Amino acid sequence: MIEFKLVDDAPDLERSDEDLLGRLQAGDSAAATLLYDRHHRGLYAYALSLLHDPALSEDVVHETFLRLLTTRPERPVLLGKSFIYAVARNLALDLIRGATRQETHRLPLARAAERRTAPEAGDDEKRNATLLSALARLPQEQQETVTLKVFSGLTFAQIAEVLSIAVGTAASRYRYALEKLAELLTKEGEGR
Amino acid sequence: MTPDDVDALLNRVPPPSPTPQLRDRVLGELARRITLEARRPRRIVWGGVALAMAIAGFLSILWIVLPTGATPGEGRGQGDGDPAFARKVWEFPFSHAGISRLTLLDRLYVEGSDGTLAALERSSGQAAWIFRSDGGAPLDVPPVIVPELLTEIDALQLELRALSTQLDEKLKTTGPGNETQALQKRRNWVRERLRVCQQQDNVYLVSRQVLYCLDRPNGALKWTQRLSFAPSGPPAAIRGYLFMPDAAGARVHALDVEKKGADVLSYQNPVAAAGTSVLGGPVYLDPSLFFVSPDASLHCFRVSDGALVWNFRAEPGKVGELIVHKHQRRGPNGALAKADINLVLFSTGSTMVAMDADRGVPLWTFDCGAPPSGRPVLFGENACVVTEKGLLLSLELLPDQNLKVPAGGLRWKLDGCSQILMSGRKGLYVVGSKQEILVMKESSGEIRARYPYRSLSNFVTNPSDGLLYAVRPGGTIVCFEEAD
Repeated sequence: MIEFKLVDDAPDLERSDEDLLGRLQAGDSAAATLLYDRHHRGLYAYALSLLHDPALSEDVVHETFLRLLTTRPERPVLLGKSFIYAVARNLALDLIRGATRQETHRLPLARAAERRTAPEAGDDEKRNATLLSALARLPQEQQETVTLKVFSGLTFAQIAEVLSIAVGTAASRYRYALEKLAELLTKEGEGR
Repeated sequence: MTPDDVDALLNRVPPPSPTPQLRDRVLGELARRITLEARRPRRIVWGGVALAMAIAGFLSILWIVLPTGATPGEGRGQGDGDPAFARKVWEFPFSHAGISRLTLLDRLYVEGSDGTLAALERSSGQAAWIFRSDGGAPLDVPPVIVPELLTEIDALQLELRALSTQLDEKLKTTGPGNETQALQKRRNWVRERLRVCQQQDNVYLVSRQVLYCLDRPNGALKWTQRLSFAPSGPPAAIRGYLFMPDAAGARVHALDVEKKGADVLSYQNPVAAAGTSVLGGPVYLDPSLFFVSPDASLHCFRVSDGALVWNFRAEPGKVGELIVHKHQRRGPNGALAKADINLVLFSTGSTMVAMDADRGVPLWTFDCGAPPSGRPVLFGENACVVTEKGLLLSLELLPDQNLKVPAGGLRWKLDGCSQILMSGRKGLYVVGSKQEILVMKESSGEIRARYPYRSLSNFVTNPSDGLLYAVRPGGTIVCFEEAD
């Protein structure tokens, strides 16, 4: 695999996403590596929360980085990280819109394969899976907010920019999501 | 449990991670695009230079060809060691590193020993794209495409154009109404179908147990997948799925292309058995998949659920490449009969076996005297086989087609042949044993002409059109056609 090196000596951690995006669009390959290492997990988690399909989510991450090479923000308010996640969100929503139509062209083999069961999970994985399964039962906008906050590390201001909502709305969605999750997990605990 | 507890718990959950291959895929594609972008201004300059050179080249060809009045194929289009029947159509200087394999599909795919794969247009020799595997590792098996998608894409594009014209005319003449609505609905369906077909129009490569998926038209890397087994031959590709042979495990894995090659189903020999090596991979004939396992058992699996439909155990021996043939029988008056016959042809040891693909019943067997080399080549209702001892055999493929020769019977044989080349206007072209190309009458095996050649290698078997592909020393690929 091709390894890239930065063209000057500035410490990597001090580089802002805006700076790296500018460098990427100017043809600096090292910026691509830094941006990827910084955001691929967060982007993947976010895409997965919208699409619920690992392969499609990887496609979204892949396409997001390709778009970042040429696309500039349409809204002036979108900077760096918010812009990256807004690109990923648009791509994922496009896929969701196309998914129902494409389903009609799949072979029966896909359905046979989908019937396969998941392998046995460990204790830690089970605890995390319970939490994630509760998360999956939240309304879509609350799921998105929690994923962007927890897994992607966005601030409420950045979440508000990505979702085009007010900062207060982003914060209250997160609070409502935590309350709902607490309620679901308590019920589940009582049920055992 | 309070919301704050949930918050703390959530922050301890590790975020889901994509596969490690995604990094290579994303950064590789970004690097490719950045390099292309950087080359763009130079490319314009070089494009201008190339255009000027092309015009100058064309004028010089005219200057050479016109005054002498030379007829094509009498020297102008030939190198010194080229066979006399052949007129050069194009040549392509490939690589100094050497050519390891040529594969003829929709394009001529040329593999270099440095891991380079070039896709050349069959008729013009222009490079559509060039790809290099990670670390320059050579490919394990020849590249594979989905041929039926190309036919479908062509048909859909034609239909789309026709529908658009029809719709425009209707709107001009009668205006919007039920008829135009129906046309629009059909056009939308065709567009969607075309989009899906184009998404699945890929070239698949395997190098060092990594499966590469490239976009067929432009060679861009779509994804890679590390396989958990070593493929024993080239996969069979259909829309959306790849069937990858794993002879060591006596099974074929179905990989879902939309899930980036995820292993979704396997077709397994009910009794795993050790045996001899298996050449080639599985073949698909709707709705079944055929595969020969190392114990020389031919299996027919139902693709939709992996169930074994039938299997046939042949005498153990070196297993040759498998081919399938869908034949529509003709009645006595020459009209196409309704009943199809689907054949599977394979060899174990020196025996060629033809099976009824639907019923799993052997139709005939033929002892070739030595194991066949390469796959059988079909010409109409006959199968031609070249053995490892250099014997070319023409066999009658189907029952009730020839009054004199029964199915599986020998029509003729010819000693001293190493490879079938092509079916041309003058007959069947084969490589002879003494650095010569023989032209023979396909119906009787009679030799019509012998053409010596020098310095050509890596001939390609091409039963589909009259083009002959070979390699000159130094890695130049050359394409010939029959001179008039």
